[in-house]
Amino acid sequence: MLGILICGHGRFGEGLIEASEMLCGPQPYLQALNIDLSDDLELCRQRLGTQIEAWQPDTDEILCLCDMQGGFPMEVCLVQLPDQKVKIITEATLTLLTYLLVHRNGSQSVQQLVNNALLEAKEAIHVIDPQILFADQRGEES
Amino acid sequence: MSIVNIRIDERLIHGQVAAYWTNMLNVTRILVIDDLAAKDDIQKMALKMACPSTVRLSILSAQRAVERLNENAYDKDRLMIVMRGPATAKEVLDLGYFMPTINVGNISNKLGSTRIKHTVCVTPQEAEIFRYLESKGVKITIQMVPSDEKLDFMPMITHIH
Repeated sequence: MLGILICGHGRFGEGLIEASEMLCGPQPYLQALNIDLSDDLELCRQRLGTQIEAWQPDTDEILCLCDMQGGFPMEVCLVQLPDQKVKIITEATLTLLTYLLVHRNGSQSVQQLVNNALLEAKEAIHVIDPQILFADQRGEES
Repeated sequence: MSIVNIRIDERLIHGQVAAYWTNMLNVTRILVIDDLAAKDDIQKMALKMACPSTVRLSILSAQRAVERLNENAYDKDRLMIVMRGPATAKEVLDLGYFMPTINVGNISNKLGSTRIKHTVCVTPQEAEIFRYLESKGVKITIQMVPSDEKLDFMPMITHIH
């Protein structure tokens, strides 16, 4: 089982998880770590460590999705870098998270899963262009 | 042609919900049956964007969909049919295509509707249509995402008139 932690400023993680549950239903091994800019770095790292510990017997790997590259939540997560079983990923979006939730119990390796999730997440970030309507050749309409 | 799922969802296709179902059931094509969407470029664009990139998409009026289904047009596909509400299901049935099982995923809250499950609200008019479908031999279930329990729908609306 792949555990997913959303580490973000304030209640970013809770909000993202609430949104993902609207699409995918309640999910196990999915938690938010809420970080306030005024929190103590060490205390946050302890909280993170405790959460990872708590999932230890049941999860093979854990993904820490951070809301922002270079932000304080990411800095908190950096302590986990040496741990082979923990991957730190920026930046967390709803598309990224839902892709992971839908596919994490499938046949992809964690590496493939993460690569594909990031691909999909990045491709979903663009200006909405009417030309897309005409470019899409998959369909049949009348 | 194998029809792997028939779904009532007011949101039609939405992002990863579609991916969840299409993945679990190895769907190769989604057929959206909706008279309005079939004529509306903006809705079509939204549907194309929401449909997983590896899944083919058809957006047809009820009339056209029934023609295509009856001529076995999707012979090579594992097909998922999506309709916005029970009214479309009735239209499809009355136009001559029988659907043995229909799953209810999402129906939004409207004036006069009763919420029977988190994402399903049913008006008395809709309840009547469901009863009509049932009387024609259609089995109706309720399941939002594949990981939810699949329940029998009709007992949940007996009190809605």
